[in-house]
Amino acid sequence: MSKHVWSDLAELPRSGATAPSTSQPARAEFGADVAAALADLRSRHGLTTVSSAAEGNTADEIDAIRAELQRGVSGVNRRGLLQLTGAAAVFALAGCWHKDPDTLVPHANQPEGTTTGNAVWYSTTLRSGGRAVAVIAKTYDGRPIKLEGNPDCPLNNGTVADNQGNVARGKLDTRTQASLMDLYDPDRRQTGPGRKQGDALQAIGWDELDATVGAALKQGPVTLITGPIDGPARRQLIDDLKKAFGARLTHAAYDAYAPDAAIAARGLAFGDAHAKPATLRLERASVIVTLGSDLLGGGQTGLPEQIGFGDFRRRIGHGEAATTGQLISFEPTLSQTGALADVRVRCAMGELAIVAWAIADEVAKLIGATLPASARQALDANRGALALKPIASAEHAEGLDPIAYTARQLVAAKGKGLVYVGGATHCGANSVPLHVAANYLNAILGNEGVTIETGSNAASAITPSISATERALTAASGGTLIVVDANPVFSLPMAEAAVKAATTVVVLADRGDETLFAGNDGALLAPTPHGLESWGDAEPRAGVFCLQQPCIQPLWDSRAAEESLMAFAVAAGVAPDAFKAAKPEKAAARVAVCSRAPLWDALAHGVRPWQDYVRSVWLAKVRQGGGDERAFWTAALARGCVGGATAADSAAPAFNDAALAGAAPVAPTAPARFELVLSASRIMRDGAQANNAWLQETSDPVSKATWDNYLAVSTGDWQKLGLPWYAKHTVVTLTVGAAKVKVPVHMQEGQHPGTLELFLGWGRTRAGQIAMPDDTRLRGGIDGVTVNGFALEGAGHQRWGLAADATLEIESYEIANTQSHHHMDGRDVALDDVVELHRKDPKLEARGHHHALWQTGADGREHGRLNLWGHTHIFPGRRWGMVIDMNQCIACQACVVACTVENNVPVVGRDEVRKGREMHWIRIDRYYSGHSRNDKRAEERPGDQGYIEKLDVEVVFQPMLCQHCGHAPCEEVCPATATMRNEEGLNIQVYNRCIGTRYCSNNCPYKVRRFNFYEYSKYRAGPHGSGAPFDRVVGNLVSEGSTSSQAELSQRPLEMVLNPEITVRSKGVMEKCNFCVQRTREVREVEKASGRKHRDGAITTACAQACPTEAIVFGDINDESTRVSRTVAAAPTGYAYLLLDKELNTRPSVAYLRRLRHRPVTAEDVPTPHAAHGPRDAAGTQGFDDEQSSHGEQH
Amino acid sequence: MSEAPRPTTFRVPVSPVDIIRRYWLSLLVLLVVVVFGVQFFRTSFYDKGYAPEQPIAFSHARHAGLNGIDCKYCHFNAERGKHAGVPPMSVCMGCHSTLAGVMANSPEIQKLNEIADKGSYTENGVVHEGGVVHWKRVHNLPDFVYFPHKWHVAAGVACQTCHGPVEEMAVVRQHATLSMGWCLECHRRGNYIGGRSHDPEKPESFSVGTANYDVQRARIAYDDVVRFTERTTAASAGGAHGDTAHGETHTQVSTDDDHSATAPSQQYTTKLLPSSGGLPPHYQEAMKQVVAENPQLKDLPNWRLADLPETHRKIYGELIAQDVDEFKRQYPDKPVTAEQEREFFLRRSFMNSPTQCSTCHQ
Repeated sequence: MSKHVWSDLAELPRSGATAPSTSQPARAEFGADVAAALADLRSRHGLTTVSSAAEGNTADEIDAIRAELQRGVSGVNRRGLLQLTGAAAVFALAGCWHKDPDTLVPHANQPEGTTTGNAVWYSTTLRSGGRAVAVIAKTYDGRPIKLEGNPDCPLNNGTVADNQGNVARGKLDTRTQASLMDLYDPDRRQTGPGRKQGDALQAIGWDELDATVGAALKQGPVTLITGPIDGPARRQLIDDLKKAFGARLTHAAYDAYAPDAAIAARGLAFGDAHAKPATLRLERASVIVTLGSDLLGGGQTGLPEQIGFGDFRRRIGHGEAATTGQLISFEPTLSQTGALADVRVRCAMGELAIVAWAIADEVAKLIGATLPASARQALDANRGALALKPIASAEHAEGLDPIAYTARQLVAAKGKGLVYVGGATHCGANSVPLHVAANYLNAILGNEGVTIETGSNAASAITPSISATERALTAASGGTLIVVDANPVFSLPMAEAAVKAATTVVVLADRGDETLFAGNDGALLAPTPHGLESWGDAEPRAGVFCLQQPCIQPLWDSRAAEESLMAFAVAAGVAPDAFKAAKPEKAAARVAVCSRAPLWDALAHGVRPWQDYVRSVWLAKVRQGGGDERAFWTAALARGCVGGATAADSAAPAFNDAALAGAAPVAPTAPARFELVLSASRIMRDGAQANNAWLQETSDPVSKATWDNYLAVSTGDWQKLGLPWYAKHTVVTLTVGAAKVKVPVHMQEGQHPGTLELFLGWGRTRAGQIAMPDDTRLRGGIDGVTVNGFALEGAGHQRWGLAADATLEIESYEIANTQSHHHMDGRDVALDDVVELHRKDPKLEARGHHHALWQTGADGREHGRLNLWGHTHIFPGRRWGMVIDMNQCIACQACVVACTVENNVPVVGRDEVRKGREMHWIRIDRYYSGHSRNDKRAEERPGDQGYIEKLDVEVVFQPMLCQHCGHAPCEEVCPATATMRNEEGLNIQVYNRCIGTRYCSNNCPYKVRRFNFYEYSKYRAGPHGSGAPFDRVVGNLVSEGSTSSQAELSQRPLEMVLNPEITVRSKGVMEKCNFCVQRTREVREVEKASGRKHRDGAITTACAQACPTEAIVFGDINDESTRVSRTVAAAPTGYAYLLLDKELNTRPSVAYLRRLRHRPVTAEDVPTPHAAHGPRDAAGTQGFDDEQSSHGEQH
Repeated sequence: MSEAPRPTTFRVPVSPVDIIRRYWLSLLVLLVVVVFGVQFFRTSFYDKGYAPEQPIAFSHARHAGLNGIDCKYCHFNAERGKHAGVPPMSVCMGCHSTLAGVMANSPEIQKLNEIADKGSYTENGVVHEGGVVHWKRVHNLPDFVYFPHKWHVAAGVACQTCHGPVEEMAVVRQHATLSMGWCLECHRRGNYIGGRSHDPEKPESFSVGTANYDVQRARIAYDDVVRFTERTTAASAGGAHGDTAHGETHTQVSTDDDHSATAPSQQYTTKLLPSSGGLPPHYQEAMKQVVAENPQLKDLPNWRLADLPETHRKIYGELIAQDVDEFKRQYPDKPVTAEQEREFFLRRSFMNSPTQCSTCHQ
């Protein structure tokens, strides 16, 4: 393995001349024979390199480092330096001068049972991507500052226990975590209702709004577009509205990724009764096959699927069966799911339907079914067009046919498999055939009703549908259009004309969005509160009822959307009694004692408060039996979630062969120059949270890009574009039909040649300052962030496989990509392995890096280890540590956002990210292995298109955070002792001692330290060009002085999100992960008061708390009974390792579990159809467990 | 060849006058820098002695000193949470409510009532909302300091140890530097270090915050840093509290004769409120009745219920008698009805004490 020191890097020639090769990792330490055996075995099985080698060694990344090194300090001479120094001294003194008086504002009446400075947790429910997630909100003096999953809601908990008997509990996904910033978003409408007037909103009062809308609603058609509806009260409201307006009302639920094709295909296959979106039960699956779909980041799935995937993966640790936990992906682009796949097969977009039917054919053969004639005919005609790369296998020189292999795996896991076609729902003529094939497979394999089912769909749910929305929008012509919690104009190209055609447009949203401004002048905005400010309910799955309660008084003048709808109906004179304030005299009395504005408003207008409506519906529908109302309501509010008994699964529906008549796959059309795939952005989804700086700065899991949309181009297509493969910052003009956009290019490994991928969800123009920089100069005229992929959709909402062309532009544009930051210097940190290899050759156990983790001798010293440190730290009591299982990590970035929220990590903005200054304390590194563009051979054979097209990669995701080393390199070089070890094993950073030398960061081998180059947290957005160092508004705004009035608050609400339990760091200070010391301290105080030791798991870090798949486990590693210790002890020898400990003797507190893949190594690994659970599987399981125990004895 | 010119000689100014005449500007600058520097380091850096003018001229000397109200009567948050907390407005209004409030004629109290009534007030052109007083913060620790009041109170550290003789301050000021070295003054002594003493030779022996309660208690006896005050608060005056938490520093119990409200003594002892007699039967009846009518009162801390010890009843009796006197003084024409007395009683017993038992019984 070639390693480079910094001085070498600066001397390297331009990239492209002699790019250093990725080679075998340094295995010398295991002994020559083992290394040779390993290399031999790996090459025989078609495995080329080990994952981490790609990092830090590539030519273009060395370029980036060289540029950084050569940048230097520009033109400051001695005199200038003295002047600057003097000025700095003066300003430093000025800064120390007596502080402005700070204001303390007490309670008027302190609520009983509260203590200032102690947090209060509320359970409530939020919606992310239209789906409800039960959360608990930590409020501090009335401000929500952190969200966590509600462990009382079954959808937030795992079901499959790990080998320690623990299941994931109270998990939360990335976007819901980040929705806290939406609450404090200064770009929300602050000043009440508005009427569109040109490009601005003219303020009107609520009375005027209600009167205007009420008058319009008295006659003519009424169209109501909402987001997805569920929850008894929300559903009741829709039903009541339908009753009130009668046939005049057309309602449609809308979501940009509504699974129309999937529903249509289910209707065809299983009859109309099953034409519903299916619920995925990944936790029950043993083999998952995805066809061109991102199961984890694809827009149609969310937290329950992520948790289910964690459960699915968890079984690997159990060694349940040889086929267990296998994920096979067929896809044209590298998706998050494909990156996690055990076997990933690239294919062109157009081939997917044929692949699906070919698998169905093989499966049918194996289980003795007959493929329907129409499908067989179409398949026979097109099968020849398939050219899939075989799966490498030692016993088969030509490799294994991926289709036959997949079919055998599916048959072996009969009844526990899952074929998923979710995301590729809009791929033109092949959409329905693809879905029907998947339904057919699931039906004949007996998966239907087990891993995929509709029986647990909530009765109160109204499924979103794009086609229904289109019909409803068309019906709005000349009538009234009310849009609630949806933004069709942004994501539905036909909506703009429909909005213009409506006579009255009312948008119920938290800001004037694209839909409002698409309307004619006079369109009305009724501001709605954030989910944390309002009441509501949800039923995410049948029998699971979630209640939403406000955790903060509404910050601005807003009214719940549901209450607005009721008020409109009352104003129109069509409201049923349920919408009217009951017992006005009693209501008046309540108003007298309760001055809360929302309640007042509703009652004053004779409208029933939405809170009251929710309560009554819940008492009527959710309360089982006739218990005490007050007790029921209080308990429901406290718990946040009622029920939880999962509904019985429906019986597996029968597959209707007639469905196949219209579902034969269509042959791939003559390929255009490029095939464009429009996929859901893995972080932004549909762009609803585009103004959220936390999300904007979160890296895409695969490309690691932040802040920008980009066009992903296959590595094989660079020559097609006329580029050298190492070219950076390229811009192309993308032509799709008549549309042309200029968009920056990202080179994506693993993507099928000829495929382009552009992400949807970007390009919001009315979301606010963060979503849309107002200065095009800063983008250099490149569309970048402003590319709205929805506008490029083809006919019938075709998003996959659009014919497209791309031509090179002269401009350059730098995507703020974090991949090349924080080099590991090519060191071998992310290890992966093939489970079958391990089983085959017990000798390979020697690959294990370290056999004794976290162990020291009786005298507290390690024996036989070279030690630069004078003494070894001793941790007499606790030592906090962590285990990170790379199998479980799905790179969803929930940990990154959770850490950001918990620790007041500032957002730095796009420009600073480009300079490598992002502040995230935890990041998820992405490593490629296998053949890649970085392979030297690719360059030696530039014209060999055939070779390039064979290029493929495997991916390892590795969460990286401060390792809290026992021998920390950072501590040794700090001249101020600002970083030091505490007696609980934390490597702590003392901010007020830090003088900003950054020596620690230079000396950190893990590159996890972050330096505050600016006062990021205090950065105030000004107009561009007003001296602001960054190109856009950034996150956490902290003001000088204090906040004491509503007027001041409106200028900078974002500072309310700060966690008061942790410092806001200032300029010139180094910071890093502190293992959430404030959380450990909090529990320690409880211990101190009670005199009892905390329960294992009571203390956990924000990242471990959030992780939906429980990849991160935190606890005391000095105690052998804790989960973290037992997890390491239970891992097969060599599978748990400490990063760089052997090389550098850093003694980290964080252990990693290797990424394991199921790959067919020999013929035995391909299950035979007649012995699906035969002796081979049992032997495999046995072997795995045996090895565990025997290694335990050896060491 | 010309002769080389003779070197010119200069007279070196030696007299102080000459020095001043020549370098007056430099000296002046130096003087200014020195004066400002000293001033800066003495005061501004640590804000020691910082005493801002508050919106209401609240006198701790009067409340804590003259009237002997326990610190934690108002700052009840100190023993429960991180912050000592500014008392909620309801605590002020408990005594100083508009009707028959204590010191109702004082202009400052009138200001207070006005703030509560109007819901906002204006100061220097800035509108302060919420119907509460927006106090100027005196003690402000830096962001990176984690200082929980709770543990210091639990360890028996007197408020005055850090905040100085607050009961003598008419305008409260910052007493200590609150610097890190100042914190270490205590923590280095080992009195608050769990399990082991700090050995200056061994830096690693230093730790903070893991103290064991018994260890702390045992060490209090020879603590020469923390000046434990002898606190006799109003509630503990009867001597019936039986609380020995103060260890060796047991308090001299004052007698009922000690009615005089004198200036606070140097030992920080607070004075008793006058008390006489027990709680009249009709008060006890009223209390029971109220509890029966309002079942939610059962959720309130126990001390508020009718099973208060005799000493407390005495005190409440006194307080209510004061209320009655005040009422008679303000409204000489009106008779004091039983309802009126009950009102006073409820106000004193239920509405005006956000404290818990441990507020007085530490």
